[in-house]
Amino acid sequence: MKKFLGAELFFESLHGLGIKTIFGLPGGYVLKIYDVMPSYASKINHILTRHEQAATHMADGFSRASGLPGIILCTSGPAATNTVTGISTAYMDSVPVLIFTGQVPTPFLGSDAFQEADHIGITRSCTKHNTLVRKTKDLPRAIAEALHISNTGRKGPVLVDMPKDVLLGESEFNLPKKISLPNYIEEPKISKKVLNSFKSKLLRSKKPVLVFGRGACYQENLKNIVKILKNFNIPALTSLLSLGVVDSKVSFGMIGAAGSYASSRLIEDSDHIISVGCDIRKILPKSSLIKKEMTIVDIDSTQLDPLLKKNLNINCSSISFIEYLSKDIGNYKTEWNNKYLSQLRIKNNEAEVEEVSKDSKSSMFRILSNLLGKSTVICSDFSYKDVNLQRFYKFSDYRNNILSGGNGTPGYGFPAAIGAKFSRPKSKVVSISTGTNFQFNMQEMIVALEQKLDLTIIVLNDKYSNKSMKYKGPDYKSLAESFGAKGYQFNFDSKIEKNLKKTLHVKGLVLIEVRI
Amino acid sequence: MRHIISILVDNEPGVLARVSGLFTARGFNIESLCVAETEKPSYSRLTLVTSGEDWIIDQIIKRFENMINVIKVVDLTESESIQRELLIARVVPTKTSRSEVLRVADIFRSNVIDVGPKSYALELTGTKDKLEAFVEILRPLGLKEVTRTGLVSIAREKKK
Repeated sequence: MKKFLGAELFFESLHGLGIKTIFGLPGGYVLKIYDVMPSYASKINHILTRHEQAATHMADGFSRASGLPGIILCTSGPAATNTVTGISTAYMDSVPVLIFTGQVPTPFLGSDAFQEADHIGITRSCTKHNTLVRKTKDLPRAIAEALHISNTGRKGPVLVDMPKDVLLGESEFNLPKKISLPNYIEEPKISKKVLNSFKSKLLRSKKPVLVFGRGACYQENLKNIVKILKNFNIPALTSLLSLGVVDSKVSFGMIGAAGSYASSRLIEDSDHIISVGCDIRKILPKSSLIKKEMTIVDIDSTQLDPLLKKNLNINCSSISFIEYLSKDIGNYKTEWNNKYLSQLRIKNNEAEVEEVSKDSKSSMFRILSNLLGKSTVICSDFSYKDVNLQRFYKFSDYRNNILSGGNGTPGYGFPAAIGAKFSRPKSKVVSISTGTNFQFNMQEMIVALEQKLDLTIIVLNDKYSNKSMKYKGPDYKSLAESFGAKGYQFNFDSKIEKNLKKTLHVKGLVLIEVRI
Repeated sequence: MRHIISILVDNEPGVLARVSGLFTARGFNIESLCVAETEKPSYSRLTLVTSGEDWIIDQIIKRFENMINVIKVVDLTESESIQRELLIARVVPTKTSRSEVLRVADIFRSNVIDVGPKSYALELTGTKDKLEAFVEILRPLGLKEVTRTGLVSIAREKKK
């Protein structure tokens, strides 16, 4: 059989597993991979980034926008430690991301060699799994297993550490057809008994409410969700990260401190909260849940509720639960008053309008929502203003709402937008950040320009109107132009809609600074 | 409450750190820990004693179950399992207590495993309470050093 270099096995395995795009940055211990890269250029597209953290966010955004796994390749030491923020971001929001790091040759492991770091130790607490490959022949199996672990069950990042001598060694190429991990439970089985007790609990309840979290965000669920909501006449809520899994016209908004008016009313009035793939106990205060009947559905058994006694815990994937709901419940109608629900919706809209009138800057997100089409991907950072974005922007697809939820990583939005553009080249992609957040990863404008991406960056310069700030931040228009992008700049005033309309659909890399 | 957790894991480098890392992350102390190969050389058994609120231990066990390298986790309660621990003690008796040390060793069914002109080394197997009693009695007789293996445990056969 033909023998391959370890570096070639890396590409052969990725190609064999259907990977087409990787994000990365070369360095000492992975140079062999970059040496052999030209011969695989037709199969695998490598995007050269300018910072490893940004590479991780790109892979993360790539995955969130499409559901495909995101791949990162970088060298050891500083490169690997740079990825940690990105890995943590993906871990918190269960995003399937694979990180390949170079490592010093195995004989030098643990000797404080040049650019050595203990990647396995450092990332142990922020990956779903991580592994050090010790022999060249094990590399294809390790990659296949890593992808399998990352992309099944509760998804998450997996790191594969590859010492230099493994990449230089030679071996035959054997990609396992079937992954056998005896200790790994891909999907927990639901017992009939639990389902039966759920069914009787549901049939008993008069005003149940469904809460979908990020765990419910799968294409397979969409049709069934629509069917359930219609058949049962049951109101649905979402979390911050799952906005769009139920169309904004049907959903009653998101739960939580920054949630909608309707969400708090519905939670209060309901007699049974069914939470699917949502960490509801961390989002809502304990006082609002303690007296409620609840059913918590989660694929991860550690997310189930160990304390509240009235709760029913179901440990299974959202896909099988929602399928069960849509098929096996039979004729069931809730006792929600349709008049009450439609009035609640009206009141909810009124409350939103009132809030926008109090904080006029939020109206910008409503304008954007109207100007950008339904298929536009919005990537943003987590900050006070951006949660306002999620509140007032109308999402109709969860894959269009890309933000770092659990980790709240500043500077996530822009690189994630680049990643999202690679997985969905036909969709319009817009990154919205405050100036401070944008500065975390603004060097990645080079990547967008190098790859000739059509991408719109909206920078909200909130320092501008702050009188106590003497330094107003950089002039973002000139900044963009110095990179070679197009820059626009305008104040937040009555002409904002007209100005945005003119600039939002300009081709190429466009930076729009809005001084608010 | 005190918990004895028995964990079957892959016999691979890094697995112990992965398991103990979960305790560090929650600020829990591990009272004792014992790791060794099992009847299958590819597996190791890890017996771990810790105390904490039941529901937190329950969460930790669930996290163990989610780990790729963990095969099986059992929370052995003290009544349904047998526990043993091994102790080795070095005693340097005074001239008058030399025979007393041997008598105590005899009472506890402890073996003398090393004798020198000045000292004895004694070994003793038993439950935690027995070992502690042994140490307390030896202390005034010239106890110098004690080393213990930590608890190992196995479930009792279920009664029908």
